[in-house]
Amino acid sequence: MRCLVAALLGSLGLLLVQVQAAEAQHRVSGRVTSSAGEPLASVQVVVKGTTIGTLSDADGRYTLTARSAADTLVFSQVGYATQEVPIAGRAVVDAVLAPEAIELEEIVAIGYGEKRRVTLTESVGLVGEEEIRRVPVASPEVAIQGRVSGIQIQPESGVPGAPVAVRVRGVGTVGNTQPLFVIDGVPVGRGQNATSSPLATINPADIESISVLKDASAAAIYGVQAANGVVLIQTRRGRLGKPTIRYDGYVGVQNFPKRYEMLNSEQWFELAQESYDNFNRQFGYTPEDSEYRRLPDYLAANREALLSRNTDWHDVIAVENAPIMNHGLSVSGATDQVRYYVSGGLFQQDAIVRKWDLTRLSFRVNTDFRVTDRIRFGENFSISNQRVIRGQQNGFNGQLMPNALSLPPFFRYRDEDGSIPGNRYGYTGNQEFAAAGLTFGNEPALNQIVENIDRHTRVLGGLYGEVDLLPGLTLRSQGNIDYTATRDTRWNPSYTRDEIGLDRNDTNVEQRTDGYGLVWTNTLTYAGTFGSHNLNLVAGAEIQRSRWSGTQIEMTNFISTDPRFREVPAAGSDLLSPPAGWAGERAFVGFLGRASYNYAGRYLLTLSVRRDGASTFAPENRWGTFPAVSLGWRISEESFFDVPWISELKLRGSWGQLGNSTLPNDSYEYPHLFQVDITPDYGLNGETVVKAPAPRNFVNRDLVWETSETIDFGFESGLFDNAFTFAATYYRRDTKDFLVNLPLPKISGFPEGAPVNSGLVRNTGFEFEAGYNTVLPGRIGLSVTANLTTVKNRLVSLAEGIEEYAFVENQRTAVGYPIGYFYGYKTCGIYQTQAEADAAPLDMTLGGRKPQPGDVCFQDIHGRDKEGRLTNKPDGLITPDDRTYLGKSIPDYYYGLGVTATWGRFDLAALFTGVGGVQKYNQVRQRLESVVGGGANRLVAVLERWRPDRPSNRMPRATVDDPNDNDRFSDRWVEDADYFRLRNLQIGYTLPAGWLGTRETRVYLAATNLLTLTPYKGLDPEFTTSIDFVRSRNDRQIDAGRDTGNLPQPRIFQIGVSTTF
Amino acid sequence: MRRIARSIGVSVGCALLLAGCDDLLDTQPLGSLTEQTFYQTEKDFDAATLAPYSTLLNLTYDQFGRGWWNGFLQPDDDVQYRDPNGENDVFNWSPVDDDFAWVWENAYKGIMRANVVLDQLPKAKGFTDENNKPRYEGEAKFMRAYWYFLLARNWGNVPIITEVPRSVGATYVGNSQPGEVWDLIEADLEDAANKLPADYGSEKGRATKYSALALLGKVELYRAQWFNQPAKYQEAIQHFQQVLAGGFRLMDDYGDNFREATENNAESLFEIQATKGDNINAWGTTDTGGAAGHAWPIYVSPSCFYGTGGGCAPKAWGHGYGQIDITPGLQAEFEPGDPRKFYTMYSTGEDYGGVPYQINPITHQPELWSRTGSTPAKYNRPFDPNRYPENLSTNNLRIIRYADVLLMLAEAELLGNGNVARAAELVNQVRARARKTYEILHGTPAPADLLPDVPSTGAPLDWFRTHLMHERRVELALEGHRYDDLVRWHRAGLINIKTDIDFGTYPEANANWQEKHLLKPIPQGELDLNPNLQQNEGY
Repeated sequence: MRCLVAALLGSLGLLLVQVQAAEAQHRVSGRVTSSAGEPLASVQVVVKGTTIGTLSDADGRYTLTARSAADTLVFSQVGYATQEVPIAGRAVVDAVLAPEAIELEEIVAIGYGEKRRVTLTESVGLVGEEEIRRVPVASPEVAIQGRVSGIQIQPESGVPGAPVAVRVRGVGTVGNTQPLFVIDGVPVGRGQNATSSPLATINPADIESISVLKDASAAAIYGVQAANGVVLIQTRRGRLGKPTIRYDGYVGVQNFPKRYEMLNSEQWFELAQESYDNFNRQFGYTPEDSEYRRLPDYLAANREALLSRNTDWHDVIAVENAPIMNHGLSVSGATDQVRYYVSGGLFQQDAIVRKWDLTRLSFRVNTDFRVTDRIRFGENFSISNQRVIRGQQNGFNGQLMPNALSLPPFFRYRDEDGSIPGNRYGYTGNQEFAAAGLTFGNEPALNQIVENIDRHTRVLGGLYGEVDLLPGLTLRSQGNIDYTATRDTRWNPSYTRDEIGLDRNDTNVEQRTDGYGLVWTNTLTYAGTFGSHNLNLVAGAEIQRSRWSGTQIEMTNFISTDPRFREVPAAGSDLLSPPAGWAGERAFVGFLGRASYNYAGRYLLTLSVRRDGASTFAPENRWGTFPAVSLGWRISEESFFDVPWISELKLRGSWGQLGNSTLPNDSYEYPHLFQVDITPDYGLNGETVVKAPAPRNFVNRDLVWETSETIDFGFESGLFDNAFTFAATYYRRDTKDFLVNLPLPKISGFPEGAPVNSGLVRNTGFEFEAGYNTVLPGRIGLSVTANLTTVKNRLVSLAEGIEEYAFVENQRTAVGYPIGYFYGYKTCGIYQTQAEADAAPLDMTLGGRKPQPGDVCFQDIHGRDKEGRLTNKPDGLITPDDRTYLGKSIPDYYYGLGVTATWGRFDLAALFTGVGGVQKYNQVRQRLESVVGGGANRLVAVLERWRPDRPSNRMPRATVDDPNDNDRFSDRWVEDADYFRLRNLQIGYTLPAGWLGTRETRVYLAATNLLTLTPYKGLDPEFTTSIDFVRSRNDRQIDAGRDTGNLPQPRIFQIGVSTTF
Repeated sequence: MRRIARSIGVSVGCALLLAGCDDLLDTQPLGSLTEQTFYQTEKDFDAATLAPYSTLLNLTYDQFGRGWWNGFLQPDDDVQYRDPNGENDVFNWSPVDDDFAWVWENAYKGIMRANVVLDQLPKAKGFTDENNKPRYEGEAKFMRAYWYFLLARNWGNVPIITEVPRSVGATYVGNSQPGEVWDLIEADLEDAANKLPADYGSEKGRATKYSALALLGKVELYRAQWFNQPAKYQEAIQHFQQVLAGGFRLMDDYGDNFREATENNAESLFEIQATKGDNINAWGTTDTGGAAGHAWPIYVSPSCFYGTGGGCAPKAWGHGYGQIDITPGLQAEFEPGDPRKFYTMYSTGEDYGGVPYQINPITHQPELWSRTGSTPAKYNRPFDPNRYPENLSTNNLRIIRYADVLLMLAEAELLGNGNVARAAELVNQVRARARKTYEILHGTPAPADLLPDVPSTGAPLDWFRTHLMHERRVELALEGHRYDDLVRWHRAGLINIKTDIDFGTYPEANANWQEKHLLKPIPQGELDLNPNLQQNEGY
């Protein structure tokens, strides 16, 4: 890699430094007004190409001294179009600023360049800085939510810094579905790793814009990595004018939006007794039988005392008004030679349960230097440090919230003497129940005594140089490094069964990793205009190389319990297991080209192609070529077009191919090589440990990248001088040869299966975007934006001879269905009478048993014919064949609605988001709503359980052991999870300029997740499956939508200020 | 220097749209070996041949008995699952059963690992002496035969794979022809017996010539009975006789066969070598980085009996899950005073971790830890309340031991040649050792009427056959032979499982048993994935 850096420095060495000479001076003054004739205060007036500048006063007047009478003045103000006026020898130069036309005049970042929005032929979604600043989030991709059509955003859970699932136009593959993220031109991966997502380290206040490349034409320039779309993040750079100091900050409090209600002690005992009675009655057991079930002696003897104890386990783990805050300070400015943006930020967010507290420090320097008229160079440089202190939540030991809620209400969190839970010298836990068979770990206490800290430092930055070789022809070379270092420690103090219900020694696991990605990009850009012909050409080459490694040691038996010994383990600490290490390497090489042509801004054409090689595949299968074309026709520019109220109308369409080289299982890089794992051990002489190296992977030399082919077409329009905008697009995305880990027959000897290319996934849908801007009577400015996206996801084919496969229990990916749909039994209420129960089909999954009155009725849907093939005829038996489609985790549609109103100095903004036609699997309810008494505590919903004297058609009878397997996966646990959410509401007030010497100050109050309308019974309908903190699942749809007890997105109230000097 | 210059040249050239970019993409896996870097030298094969052995550990790693114990030990008449819903125990055998599927999967994983050795061995270029190769071939073939024998006696005409599949299509192999897999097993074992050494000096644990001969004899004994081929008895006798000439002997103390301190002893022909490995984490298989031991003690040590309001064995959490109980039938099978019973089971009243077995230490009520009053003690005596890690045992599981060979030879002589005298002589060696064990255990001479020798003449053949079955049952109890024995005797017409065998306190076991239970159902997942595979009859 050294050679790359050397080469980069070499090419920068070509850049020569030149200094410009000074000239004579000229004094000028004037007045700035709006197009409505009102004076404009705080307008920046700058002599073009210099640092000389001033601000207009409250009357719109200014005075400054330019270098010469031939200079040009630049007038700029947020919300107005910047205007350049040559002084031309005058002493008085007035300016009239027009309000900036919204949206349609925007410059949009596309891959390796930018375009004016009106000349776009590609499908690109854009989110601006104001929208990004509005939402209090740790990770900036969340800010896209609801702002742009075609993109669905779902945080994995409500824990601070949780990974975020980003889906562009449906779900294209059963493998990795995350888009490629590109920060300031540097591809930084897919953000699918919880602890090293490149995005979670960016201060959202540093972001100028986020562009989402949705169609093949926009994304093809990223080739083999772009099949799931590309998200471009541009950070802020200095703007011409006087230096600006800006502070943004807010503080807020967070709370659970909703909680689960559990049984109290008395209800627990009632449920237990009823469960035992029903069980004994069903099987005819009498107290003499050894199978007879009754309340354990201890509980029976101490019932009265226990009834007086009612621990609310939600209150034990929840943190009321958990703090969140953010502070960002930046200095930016620009002269003719230098543009700079320097910032620092501090973000802190505590979880709404005890322990999961995130702190992030970030710094950034972005500069651009103009060396001569023809030579420029600059840099992006950012460093961030993130620390998360966490406990059991989402950890290896399970889910804090559901585990805490399932503790019986008469268990104690602390001892009577209030001693600290887990203090081995004082705490006795709930040991008395152990002998009675109730052995629940006191997880809230464990949560307090373990200490897991994840530290993550990231440096992302590099240099670029640009030379204008000829007029219009620019050579750009950019080299970047993306370096991360993590240090994660997991400290578990010794605690014993007597204290806490588990047995464990002091342990500390120390894991350190580092990784870097190097990207070197060279592009040649030509822009030229020949009469009405406008041409923009880009050609380039890019090399990417990444390498990562890590080490882990697990220590135990520390010389002291003093925390300082965890940091630097003293001699005397044993290793729990031998040190582990790992490393990996990957490379991409790509050649890219793009031609954009337009004739008089009317007829638009973009052609692009990328040829990519990926080290992942065998040499003969490495290279792929991904072409794309898109066309646009701005009908409104035609002379024959004469509809006065249509100010803008463009038809556009595109076709193209994209690639994806991310294997379904990251750890099996190089599937074409026969690799040998050294993992298994064997003991010779019954004790000597010997390594028994075994083949690691099924070799598939034929593997290639997956290809997705997208077509889309639609129109964009602006009505009534663009006061109203509307756009609609149809898309179809076919992912072919997708990379899937195919289950092989076990007789192959490779039970993990094999990565193969197979099948076809089709996503189709429409995207609609609308906007409306107006000024209502009473000078109320109103702006409304709305978007809606529909998705129809179907697996068209899978591997030859295979119709479906189940990656996880209860979810399937099958031909004709959406990816990862829920698969289980359909229920038909509750058997109310003995006669009904007797008439029920025999349940072969229970060895041919019949249900009892009060048991759940499962539908007999399928049978098998003589050849053993599945039929749609019931066969009078309940077998696993009777499982069927129960719902899907990919929504039919999702939408966003933003409303902004201004009145004088007040502003109000609301963002609504919603999802429809989607289901989730509520595993928390399956676990806590099981009507099996005598053990874990249950939700109050079980109070509605069926009893002969109190029939219910919703909740089955109580019984221990669940002999009818009422709790099996069925439609009882699959719920509609549509929602309509007021995601963010803000009320702001802008103080007059000059207040305390400030240029502009806005204070605001905001609320997040204030209101959610949903039929979903869990705490939050918005989440993806979360397994644990270190294994993120945001990149996968095949097991998405399982509510395992993730924390809900908190409800946040915040107060904030942003001010500039 | 030239390499650096070349590297710079490639980077710059590639970056500036020239050629040579493929070099940049030729990265190699880090942290794992490849075909090119491994499978070359004697040292490589010393390690590589252990992979198929190591697969054995996967069968028994799980503390809930997943795989081997739930699927293959429980369905006999020696133990029963503590929970009446034990589907395998009562012959509600299902193609979707995880336990059967786990053993199937790992058997074929072991076969693949053996096939890799056989595939790579001829290609290896780093051997100091080509004559060192046959031994590795012998080890791989022994293990391949071991796994196929496990498959054949449980699933019948299973698919045969003798090469490492390198395409998806090559994994869709159908059922084999009748007898085909048995032929392969015998051929592999004969080859292995020729190529394997008699011992490995200090490196105990690898298959020897005698491991192969003993397994070969066993396969032939099975074949004689499964397919009514009396000639196979003679081949079995011949191979067992070779084992007898190999210098093995019965340990004086029967208990030595189940103690960690006396692993790989003079009675042992093949054992699963259990060790902590380089990780004491016993929650996963050694394939996934877990420990290289097994979970037998935690699986069988008594826990709590939930039905009667609590009452837990000492260290019931973490040390004992009490998954299986000893059936009354096996308890009664032991002759009075037989010391082998002590090494086979814990029983009501004896001391257990400082308290009387079955007595609740808190309530002092006589509450049950076992539905039958007895739980397994084999490989788990004495009970060690301080075992750490609690869920891991590093005591080797004995697969073939000399006593088994003696009894199999006796059976072959009796059924193949009607040679009662020879059979009696062999059986009496086993009984004499049991008497010796009594003396060691109690420190007193064995009573005169304890385990008397069986008569070498005069007894009817039928009586002798029954006695042989009895002797096998008590000598080898809980070691994983019983259901296989019942099946082969049933196939040979010596017994009728349904009527002659009492499966214990769950009456549905006898009621449910059918001829189809002579074979296990092929895992449904395999049938779903492999269009060429047919299910066994009756499932």
